[in-house]
Amino acid sequence: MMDEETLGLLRGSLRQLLTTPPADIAAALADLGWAEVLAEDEPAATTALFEEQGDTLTTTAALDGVAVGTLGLGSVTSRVIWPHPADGTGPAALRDGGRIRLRGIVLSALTDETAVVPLGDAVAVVRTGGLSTRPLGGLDPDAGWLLVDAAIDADTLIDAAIHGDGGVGVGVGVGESPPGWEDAVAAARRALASEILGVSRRALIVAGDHVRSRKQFGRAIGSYQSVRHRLAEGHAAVVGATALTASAWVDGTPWAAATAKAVAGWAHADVVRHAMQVCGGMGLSEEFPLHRLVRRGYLLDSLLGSARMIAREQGGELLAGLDPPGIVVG
Amino acid sequence: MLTAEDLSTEDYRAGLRSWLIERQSALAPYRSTHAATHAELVTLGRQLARELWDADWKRWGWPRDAGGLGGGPLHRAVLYDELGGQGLLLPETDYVAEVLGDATIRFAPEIARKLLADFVSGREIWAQGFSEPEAGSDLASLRTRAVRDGDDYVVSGQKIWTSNGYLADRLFTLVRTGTPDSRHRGISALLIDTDIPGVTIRPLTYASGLDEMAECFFDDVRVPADRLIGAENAGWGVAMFLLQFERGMYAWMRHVWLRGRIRELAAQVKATDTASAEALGRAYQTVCALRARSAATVRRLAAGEMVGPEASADKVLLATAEQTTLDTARQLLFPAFETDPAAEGWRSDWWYTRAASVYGGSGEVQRTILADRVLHLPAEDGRERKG
Ligand SMILES: Cc1cc2nc3c(=O)[nH]c(=O)nc-3n(C[C@H](O)[C@H](O)[C@H](O)COP(=O)(O)OP(=O)(O)OC[C@H]3O[C@@H](n4cnc5c(N)ncnc54)[C@H](O)[C@@H]3O)c2cc1C
Repeated sequence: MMDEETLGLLRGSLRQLLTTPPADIAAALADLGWAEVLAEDEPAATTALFEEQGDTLTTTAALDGVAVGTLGLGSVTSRVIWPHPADGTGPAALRDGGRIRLRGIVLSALTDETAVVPLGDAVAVVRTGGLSTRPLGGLDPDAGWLLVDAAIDADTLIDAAIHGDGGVGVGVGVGESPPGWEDAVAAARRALASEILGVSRRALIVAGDHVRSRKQFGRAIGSYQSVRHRLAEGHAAVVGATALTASAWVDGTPWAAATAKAVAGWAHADVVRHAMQVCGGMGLSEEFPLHRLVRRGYLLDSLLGSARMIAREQGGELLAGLDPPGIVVG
Repeated sequence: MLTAEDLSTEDYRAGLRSWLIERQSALAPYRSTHAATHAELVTLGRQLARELWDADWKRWGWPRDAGGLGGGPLHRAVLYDELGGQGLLLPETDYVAEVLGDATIRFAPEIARKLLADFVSGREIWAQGFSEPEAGSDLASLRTRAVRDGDDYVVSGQKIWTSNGYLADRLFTLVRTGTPDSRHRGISALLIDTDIPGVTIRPLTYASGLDEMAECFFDDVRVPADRLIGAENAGWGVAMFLLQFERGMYAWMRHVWLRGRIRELAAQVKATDTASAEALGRAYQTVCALRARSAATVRRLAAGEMVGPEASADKVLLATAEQTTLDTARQLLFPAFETDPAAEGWRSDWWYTRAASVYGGSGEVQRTILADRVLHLPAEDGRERKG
């Protein structure tokens, strides 16, 4: 476990590292001694990295590292082709005769030669050479996400690294079942929850600063009760989601990770609704930072199942008779 | 005998769980949570509390000086979690015991030594008499007077909305011992037995028809001065200490109850459409957020930390979870909620969850605390600053 002071120092270094977003986040984190940091306290370190990333609106491919690490494929590749938001948790690729249909998202330009991709029920590694991408566009073009939409030859697969689908997991001992896509999704969802919450906290800070300095009717608008209460409500939502994300690490199940990501998504929606209202016209202008936080939070919510999709899925399971799981809180 | 150090909360959980499962059929009466009347629900809860006490499970979490076996709030939190996990009700009296118990131990150890075990084991009922007709959100304006006369305090005034009040053996009250305008500086906490002459208690029926609350009248009631909880005029500090448990442990208990409601709702609802699934899933998620947050708060309380204004977020999350869950029940049980006599339990629960943003510091009061003391926003113009 990392103590408060070490964690503070770590956050400082991460913040510094993210102010000039490194093209190769994996290498930059490695320089920081990330492997040792993870070994010491993976939940705290991951939470710090993604909260800072959200707070500073930086985009990196750090999420890829989380999934690749979970899958134990770190020696093979460092990148992931994520399912398109429309497809929730995937897959991002399907076999189609001798070919493979890819539709997914990459978080930044594919400079590596290979990438992980959820293929049907399995996890595959593909060669990325010649794979064309184009900017995703949409709500938050600044995120720099790219769309992959292609059909490739099946021999682009690197067979040895296929999990499931009859292949063998790299680095997996005999008799162990290798971590699968579901585990990678769970790890990524915990990270995304923290990133969404980093964005949300920043939105509360931006709005708080605005209502302290902006005066109307002779007083700071932040002294009006309805303005104060909106921000307090946003704060409470963030506090609940933050606690749940921490619990999702303790609990460790994909279910808990899904719940945490959904609750973070709902919290962000609450926060930005209130923040936009209390910032008035300024909050809706291009120059003011709020719209970026609105965009980024919604974009992050869309990846690997939105809050709404997850609620629907979990509610469906409850209706089908699942006893409501009590997330392990430690 | 084992000490708390010997019995970790995880061992406690495991032992308790197997005991509950072994006694599944004997415990069946405690599975029904929709009793016909509040008094029946209280009686059922007291019986369960007695069984748990006699089997020692309920003695964990309370200090030896108060008849317990040691350990602390974490043992109690596990008890409620496991009861709920087995679909059993939580003793109604424990909602109050969790709010009042630790404050009694801390500020009146002698009273705790003599009386607390009877309360926690379900032999006695205590109630919390803070609110008055003129002192709701502005609790520091309370007027029930207590005047020292020899070895007694003579109490006159009125309390209202006292949960379990008409069944109570003792009332944990806040009374004015300072000057009328002394506000929080002139308040004391006093434990008043309801069988003392001059105490009159009248049931106060809730909108649902639930006979849970009461009005308590005090007409020159002589209360021994050794029933003071904390020092004279130090009652506000007692109340603030106790509020931490109301925000932490009470919320934890309510989350257990809500999880049970979701379980029963899912079992009753026939619909399988995505809108219903989404609403139910979202309600469940609000309960999960409450669970995670109140667990963290209970852990801090167990470690002896003061929780402070941050705990107002817990109360906001509690109200959100309660109201979202029962609003979802209302929608998913359409039209039974509106038309079916058998759905009275759901209607009653729906009404009760409306109070979650009113009692123990309303939603507005909590948001104001967060705005002032956590977010440090500008003070409301013309509003008296909290002293
Ligand atoms: C089911 C239930 C059980 C209860 N059990 C107990 C009990 O066991 N013991 C006990 O002592 N009390 C109990 N209470 C009383 C409860 O604590 C009070 O209802 C509560 O303190 C609010 O007081 P009030 O009802 O007088 O509302 P008021 O204070 O009159 O408030 C009414 C509305 O005005 C708002 N308001 C008030 N002041 C402000 C402000 N400054 N800014 C913005 N809005 C404001 C409130 O938020 C609320 O929405 C219970 C109440 C209920 C409903």
